[in-house]
Amino acid sequence: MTHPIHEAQLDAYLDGELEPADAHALESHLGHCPECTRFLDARLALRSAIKARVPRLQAPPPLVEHVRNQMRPRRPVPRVVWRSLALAASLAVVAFGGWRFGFQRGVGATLADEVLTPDSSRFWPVEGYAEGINPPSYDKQFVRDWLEQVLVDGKPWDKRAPAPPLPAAVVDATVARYREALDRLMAPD
Amino acid sequence: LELEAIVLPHLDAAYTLARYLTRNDADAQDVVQDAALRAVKYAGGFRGTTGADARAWFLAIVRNTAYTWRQRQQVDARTTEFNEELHSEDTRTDPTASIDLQQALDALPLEFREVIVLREIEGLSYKEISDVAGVPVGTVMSRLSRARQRLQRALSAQAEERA
Repeated sequence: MTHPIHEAQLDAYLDGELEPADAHALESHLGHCPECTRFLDARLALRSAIKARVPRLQAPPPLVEHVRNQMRPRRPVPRVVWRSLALAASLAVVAFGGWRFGFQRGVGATLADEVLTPDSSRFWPVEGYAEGINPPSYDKQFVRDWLEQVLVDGKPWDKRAPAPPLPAAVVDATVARYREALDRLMAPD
Repeated sequence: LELEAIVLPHLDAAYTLARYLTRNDADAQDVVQDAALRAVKYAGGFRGTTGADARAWFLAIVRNTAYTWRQRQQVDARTTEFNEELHSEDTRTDPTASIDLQQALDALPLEFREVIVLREIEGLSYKEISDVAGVPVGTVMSRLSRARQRLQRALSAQAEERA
C-alpha cells in the first residue's frame, strides 16, 4: 500500500490490539480512506468465514480419558519410550537380516533372539528422555561407555580384539539393565 | 494451580491446535498425549496463576511437541518417497483448484497456521501468542496479517469461481 497505515496495523486494530492513541489516530484516518475501509470489510468477512468453516474441535473422549489418567497423582508407573526411527531401523535390519536369513535357512530361532531386544532396539526410560540428549539407556551403550574409559596398559583401549575382560560388576549391571528393560516393557500399564 | 487444573480444562484447545498443526487426528492425539507427559514433567516450571496463564503454558508445550513431531516426520519423509501433495505447503502451484477455506488453512506454512488457530479460534491476545510461539509480538502481528492475506486470496478465488 502507498499508504501511511500498514495492513498489520489495521489487523491489530480489528483485534483490539492497538494502543488507544494509535486506535484513535487510525479511526480518524478511516473516515476519509475508502481503501482502508474496504480492507477492514474484507477482513471482517474473512473472520466470519473462519468462524463458520474452521471449527474449534473437541478432544476425543478416549484422549481425554488417557490424559486424565496421566495426570492422576500416583506412584510413577514405569514407562519406556523408544525412538520410532531407531525401532524402524532395527526392524529393517531384523527384517532384511534376521528374518530372511532365518526363514531361508530355517533357523527361526534367529528371529526370536533379535526382535525388540535391547540389542536390536534401543530403549530409554521416559523420565530421563528429552530431545537432543543422550539419556541413560537400557542397552549395550552401558558396556560401550565402560569400554570408552577403560585403560589397557595405562592407555585407552585401541578397539582391537581382544577386548579387555569385562569386570563382573559391569556384567551384572548390564544384565540388570536388560532385565529391567524386559520388566518395564512387559509391565501391564 | 494443580497440574490437573492446568491441563484438563484446555484439552479441547490443545487438541484443536494439534489437529490443525498436524492435519490429522491420529498424530494430533499423539501430540496431545506427548504434550501432557511433558507437562507432568515440567509442571514445576509453571509460574502462572490464572487459567489463561495455564492455557498459554500448556499450548506452548503442545505447539513445541507438534514441531518436534514435524521434524521427525520430515526425517521420515527423507527416507521414504516424497509425496508432493501431502507435503505441499502452498497451493499457488495450482491456481485453478477449488480451494475450501479449511484446505487453504491446511496449506499455510506451520508458523502462519498456528497464529490463525491461536487468534481466530482460541482468541489469544498477541502477547499470549508470542509466548506460545516463542516469537516477538511484532512477529505475531505481521505473521497474522500475512496469513489472513493468504486466506483471503483463497476465499476470493473461490468466490470468483462460483460467479
